[in-house]
Amino acid sequence: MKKKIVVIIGLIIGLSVLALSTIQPISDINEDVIIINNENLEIFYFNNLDPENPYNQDFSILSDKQINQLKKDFIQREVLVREAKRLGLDKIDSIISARLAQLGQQALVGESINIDSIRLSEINDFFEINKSQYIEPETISFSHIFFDTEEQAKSYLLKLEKVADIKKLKNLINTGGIVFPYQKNYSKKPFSFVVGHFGEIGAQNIFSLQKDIKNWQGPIRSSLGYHLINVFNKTSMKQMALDDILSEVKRDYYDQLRKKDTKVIISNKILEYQIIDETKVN
Amino acid sequence: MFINKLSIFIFSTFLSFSVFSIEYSPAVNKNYPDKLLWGDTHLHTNESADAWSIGNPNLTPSDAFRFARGEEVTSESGVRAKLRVPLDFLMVSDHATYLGVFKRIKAGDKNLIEKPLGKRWKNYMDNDDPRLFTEFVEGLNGNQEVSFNKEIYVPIWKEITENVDRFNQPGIFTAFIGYEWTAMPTGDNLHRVVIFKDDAKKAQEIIPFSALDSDKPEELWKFLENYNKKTGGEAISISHNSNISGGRMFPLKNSYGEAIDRAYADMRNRWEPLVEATQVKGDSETHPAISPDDPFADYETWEGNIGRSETDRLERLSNTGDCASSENYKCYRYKKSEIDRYLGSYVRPALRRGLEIQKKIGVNPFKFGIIGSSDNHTALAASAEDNFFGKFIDSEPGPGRMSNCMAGCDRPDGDGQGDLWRNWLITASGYAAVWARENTREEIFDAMKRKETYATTGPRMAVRFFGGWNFSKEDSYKPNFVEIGYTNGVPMGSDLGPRERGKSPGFLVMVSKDPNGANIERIQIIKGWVDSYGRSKEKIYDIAISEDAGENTVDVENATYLNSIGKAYISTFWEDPDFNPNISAFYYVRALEIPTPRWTTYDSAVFGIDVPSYVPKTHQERAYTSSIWYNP
Repeated sequence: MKKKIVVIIGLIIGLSVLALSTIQPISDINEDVIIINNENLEIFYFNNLDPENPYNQDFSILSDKQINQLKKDFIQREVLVREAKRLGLDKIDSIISARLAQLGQQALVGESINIDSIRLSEINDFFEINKSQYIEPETISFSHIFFDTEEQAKSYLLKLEKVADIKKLKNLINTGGIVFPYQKNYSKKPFSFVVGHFGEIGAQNIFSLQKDIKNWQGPIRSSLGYHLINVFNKTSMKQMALDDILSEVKRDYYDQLRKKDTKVIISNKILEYQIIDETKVN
Repeated sequence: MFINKLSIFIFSTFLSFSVFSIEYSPAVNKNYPDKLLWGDTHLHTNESADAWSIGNPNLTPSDAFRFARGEEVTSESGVRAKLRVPLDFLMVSDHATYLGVFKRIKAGDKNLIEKPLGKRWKNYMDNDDPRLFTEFVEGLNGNQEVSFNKEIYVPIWKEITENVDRFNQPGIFTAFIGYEWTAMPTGDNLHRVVIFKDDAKKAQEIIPFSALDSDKPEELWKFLENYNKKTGGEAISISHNSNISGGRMFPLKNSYGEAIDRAYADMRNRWEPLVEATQVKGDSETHPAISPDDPFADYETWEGNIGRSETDRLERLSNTGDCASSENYKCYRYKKSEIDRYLGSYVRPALRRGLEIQKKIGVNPFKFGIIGSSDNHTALAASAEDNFFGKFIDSEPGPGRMSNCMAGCDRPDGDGQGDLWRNWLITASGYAAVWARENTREEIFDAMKRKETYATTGPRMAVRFFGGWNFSKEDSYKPNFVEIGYTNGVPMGSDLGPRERGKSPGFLVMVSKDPNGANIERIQIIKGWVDSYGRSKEKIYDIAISEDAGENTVDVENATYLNSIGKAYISTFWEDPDFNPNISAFYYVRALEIPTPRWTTYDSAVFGIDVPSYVPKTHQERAYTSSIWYNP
């Protein structure tokens, strides 16, 4: 009888332990226990090395003093990491999750597409769909004379307008104003180039002018001063031909294929997860 | 009849000489550089082993070029990135040590994984084995046992160089072929980038010379010489991070321990005409310890190579107040016994040292020009304070980047021992400015060789600097200022011509603000010279200064400033009042912006985070030109 009771009690205890271990994972039970062994200490050591430090030593030849210091560091790190996890900080830190997502993507996706296997017909199709990406921007060609003040520019414009003789006019153009740090003449430059020399306001003012070969316009303001402008030419946005940019389009198509491939791989992986959506948004 | 013909001939000849000796078209005789081009010659992508392993496995050299020419690129951390104004040129300079290797091993490149080392590393990668790092470090230290045969680099170099050619558009955007030679004997930074004038076909005749081949710069220069002899092509080296070289970038002795001689000086001048004076790992112009009379010397200076080889060479000045934090790196200095290391680590003392050595051996070994570049490892040449994408992924824009540790290290002991720096220390800097005739490889490379270049810490300030014996104050107002500069003098990077009796050198200087940035506060000329005892000296002259200099309009909380102070444009003339015709000297321009928010201040406003009290809230960005030298 006694034997039976002992067996029954033993069974109850065994089943209870089994049940408890199912409810609460072993790892959680061990969250307050820090185990130090050579393996995790070595990994910790290498993970915290400066890769470019020539004084780095091999783990196997560290002195007892160094090992003890390493242990202290390891324990402190483990405690802080676990406390952070306990508070759920790893789930709200955007850098940690972004980095993990990046590592995950890297692990899932390799170099799966060969660029040399891409056919011309595929590039053609890609180009037709994405034509709007291959557009030459609007450009402007002009000369300018640079001044410190608006008054100086205005009075110089009057001078220019009065002169009819081409030689004299040319001389006035070449000797007017003060030195501009960049160029005097600009040929077929897009807005993104002009803004680098004249600032946002200057570039907007210049592009607002119309083509007028005969007359000087302005003064217009830039971030450096004032300018009289002679606009020789303006070109509108223009569609580029595939032949001129074939290799560039091929590369873009390749990049798109890679992105798509990445998307498919990640989507397939997502299917392996059970998603529980508790939001009310459909 | 004959007389008639003869007279017509004589008349027409006379006419052609008299009329056409003066050219009609003003552009015909204009043979000087009139284009200011902006670029970065020091950028890393996923072809660099460290960039790849520290968090940039995806962004390629192609992404780097696209970004530089103005396209939008998404950074590794997922932030959309775009330059406000595109750059004119770019060199991707991935590390030659293991160039492209990590990325290709991970992708299963058979050329690599079938080699014993490649197989081992693939295994390390697949198992997240830390020995990958250890062996990588051994390679950086020149351990030949952790190296591949040079032949494995042939297809990699081919692919890399041909891709660069794809992005090179003469007249529009210049893409340079290049790489970084990453030598660091005993942890001191002797790094150089190598820039090629040539296209892929020529560059492919060699395989990049890495620190595994030699950690001595003299050997790198020999390699460049051999490349020139073998191919007829040309490449030069540009040193960087002298500030963390432990005094070894501008030494008194060569790499073999011998005193510098004429052969060394000639070789260095020929193959290394430029120094990158400012970049993401700090500014190398000068340091308060060696320029105590310069109130602007303490700009983004680093106290040696904290966290690497130099912890034993440094001492903590204080541990109270702002210095209570071991992460306030400004509270460290070289120990008194190590103080000479500053002299070999910064540009200005090197220019001075060059004159001292010249007095002894007849040649100046440190007659270099100046550029700035980024050294970012993100494929993004983004060096503006409000558009700064950091050094590695850990300093890409985000609320935590300032307190992250560079390259991911983070030892919790808190005493600074063994740590790499916190990212608040890194600098949003810099760019290379080049005066060239055209935006082509050849023109920019030639401008670099003649040192017609300057550095900025980020803003695109335009700077002209001419020296001569016959300039006048009126010349600085004239619209043909530049033509006068070239005709009657020499530009930055040159030697003054023969002195005219009784005259002092005069300088024409023009500085204009970044068209999309802050006004200019002051222009300075920094002069260095050697006295009759062979000792070098320096002096700073304010040659143009805004009347409101010293004022600060920065609203720290909102990270804004006003251009209500300073000037947009300054053109001026200066004559050396202390000129002594019997001694050698150098002169260079430093132009300072009005105070603006530092990148950490912008971060504070954008991400709503606090900045440690010891981090500067505002600063004055600047440009440094190459020097003009005078020799008696």
